[in-house]
Amino acid sequence: MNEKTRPPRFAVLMTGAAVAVATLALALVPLAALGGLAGGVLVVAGTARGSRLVLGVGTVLQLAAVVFAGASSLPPGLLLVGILGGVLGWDIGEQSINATQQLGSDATMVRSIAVHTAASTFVGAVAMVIVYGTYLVSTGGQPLVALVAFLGGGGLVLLAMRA
Amino acid sequence: MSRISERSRHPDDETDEASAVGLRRFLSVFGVFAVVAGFVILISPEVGSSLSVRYLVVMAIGGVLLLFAVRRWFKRVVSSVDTAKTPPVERRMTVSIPGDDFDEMLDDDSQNAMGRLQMKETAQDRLRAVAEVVFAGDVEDVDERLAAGTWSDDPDAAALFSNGETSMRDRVSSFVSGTSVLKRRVVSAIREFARLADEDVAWDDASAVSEERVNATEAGTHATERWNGLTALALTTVAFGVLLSQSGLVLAGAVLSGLGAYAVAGSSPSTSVRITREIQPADPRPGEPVVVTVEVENVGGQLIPDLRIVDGVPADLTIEKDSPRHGTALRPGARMRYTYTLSGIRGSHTFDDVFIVSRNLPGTLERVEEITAEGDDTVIYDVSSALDLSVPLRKQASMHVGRVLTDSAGSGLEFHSVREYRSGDPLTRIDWSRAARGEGLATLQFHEERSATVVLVIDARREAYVASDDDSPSAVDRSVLASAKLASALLAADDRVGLASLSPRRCWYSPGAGHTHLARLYDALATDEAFAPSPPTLPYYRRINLPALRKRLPSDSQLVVFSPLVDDEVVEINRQLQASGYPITIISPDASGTGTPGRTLARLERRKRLSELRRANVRVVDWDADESLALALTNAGRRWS
Repeated sequence: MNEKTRPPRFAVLMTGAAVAVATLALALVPLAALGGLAGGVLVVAGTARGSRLVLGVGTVLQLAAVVFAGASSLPPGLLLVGILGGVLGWDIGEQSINATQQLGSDATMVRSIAVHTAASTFVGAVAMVIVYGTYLVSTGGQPLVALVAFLGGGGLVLLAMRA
Repeated sequence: MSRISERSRHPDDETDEASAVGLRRFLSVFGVFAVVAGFVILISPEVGSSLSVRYLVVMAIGGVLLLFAVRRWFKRVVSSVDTAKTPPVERRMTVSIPGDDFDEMLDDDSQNAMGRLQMKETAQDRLRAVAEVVFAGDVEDVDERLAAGTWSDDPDAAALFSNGETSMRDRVSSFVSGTSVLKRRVVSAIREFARLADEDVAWDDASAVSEERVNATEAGTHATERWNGLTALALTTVAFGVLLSQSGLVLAGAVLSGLGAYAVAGSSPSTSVRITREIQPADPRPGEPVVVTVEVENVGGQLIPDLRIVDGVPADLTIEKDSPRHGTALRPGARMRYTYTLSGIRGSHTFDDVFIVSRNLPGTLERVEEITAEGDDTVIYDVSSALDLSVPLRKQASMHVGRVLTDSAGSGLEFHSVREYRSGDPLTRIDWSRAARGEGLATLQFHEERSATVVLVIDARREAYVASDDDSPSAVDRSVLASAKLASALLAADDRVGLASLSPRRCWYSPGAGHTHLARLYDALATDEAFAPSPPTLPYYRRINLPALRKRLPSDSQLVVFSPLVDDEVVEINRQLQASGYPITIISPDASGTGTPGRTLARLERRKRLSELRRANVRVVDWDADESLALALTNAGRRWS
């Protein structure tokens, strides 16, 4: 095993694609896009160099940019793309760093990374379509009780999750 | 199986407890929040009147969620992803580099005063022994020069032996650099000695750091906790969404919950695979690369989305090309193969079990297992190699006719002496020209040519498993291969050859001749456990093992001893054997490394041992790593004759 952890170029490309999409989605809020860009660069650099720390810092920066964009009234559709891109960037990056740590830089592992990327992207896309679809269908004016129930219940479910 | 179920039950218990505690906290935080909100409204009633009471509930939920999010973020930051450690199959773990233990001792700064005193004494003793060779003087002279401190211009080096006071400046600079005064003195002294002995002193600090040994994770399933941050993120977006009335952020939280559900729902990863290994060729010649093909088949009914395979490469083979590790994804029934190339020097090597890590699709659960591969699992290196080698032997011979020129007079080719004729002497050996001059009959005598009885002794003690760097063959490897060549050459020259090991794992083949005997010796060298590629676990006790060897040696035999000469014990062994009447030739594969103070010291010590042995009338062949044995023998032979 090589002492240096350097994930395959394919993984770096995939991570780069995910964060690029996320950054582009924030383009309407220039400050957030700038933050997203900085975070994205760190994410790609972290993946390429096999550093979890750099990857993590980049991801936090990027997600913060997404939340900031959301606070600055970015349209929900773009916001969802932004947050999904950020999370996928981290997911692919971490997965490939992990695989490289176990298998070394010389081993072939593209296939498993591709499968992982495809699965995560698919699940994220389905979740997004369902959530966004529901949002488009419902046209506001709902009773507040529904909102409270959603938020309170959803929060409890999130807290119960270990993952 | 029981371990797996125990492990998987464990997290559930934790969750139950956590949720009970969590509910209580939730209520208490909610209470605090309500009290704070009440205060705010009391102080400025207009805030209260502008907010509808019903909307306040939503705001409260947002605040509570934010608090929980912060807590989760904190937990995420202090924890790390828990992932399996794979075995370091690429690293050769059976040999060490001479002197690395000394480097470790120098680097160990956790010592107390007693430990430092011991270290100082060890270093002084070893260096003083080396000094005798470097200065080439007698013992008293050496001691005097060392104590006077005049032997070196370097004040640090001289101070090690003169026991000078440590100056204030030294103490300050040692404090600043983090290197103890003693260490600096020892290192300077070694450097000075090496310089005096014309050794290489270009040291590289990085190579002194010894690597940590990694232990592979045990078999079983465990959670990687890699998605732990997702909850924190979801809680944060929802909280901000609520507090800032941004529907987009709340929706983002919902999408993240979807991903979270996917992560939680990840099934237990399957490890039902069949692994087949094929080795080509299975009995290679020394140094020949071996191609290993590993085939993996998913024999379960479940998709294996992320399978990582680490083949159990034998500890003393090195990877030549590609990697014995592989990552892939396999549908049920699918198979896949990968190849890599190994190379080794000699001996019999057995593969370990294959280490596999299987992860589920989101990567939340990881299952580690070790699987016995079907197919080939052994590589045996052949030691036979035809070689025309002329071995300079010593003049101890048997009664059989052979090619060793002895000092005893008789029939032969090379002139020895002339003696008075005795009746019965063959006519061909009468000195006729002398008879013609009328000086009477005399008989010519020649050096008799007899065969030698040679016992090849291989130093295979634990200490002898050394190499000059991590990739070169160990001294034992080189000794075994060289003795195979020597055996073949000696048997071809009609000498009788035996084989013995200098190791707690005893091996003895009494001297013999002929093709069958050669085949037997080859077989022993390739597969006898005394010469196994990994060192013995027991230490060698000279008092027990040496008499056993001496009892078996035929009285007319001479010894060819292979040893890297890395400790003083082997010198003593050779001296004793030589003193008991067995002439010795030592072939010493040089396995001393360079680059650190300890290695340089070990190198100097080896030089000291070589000269000690020469003084004890032992013939020494110093065999460099990049030199062929034939060349080393020729060079050494030139010096003897």
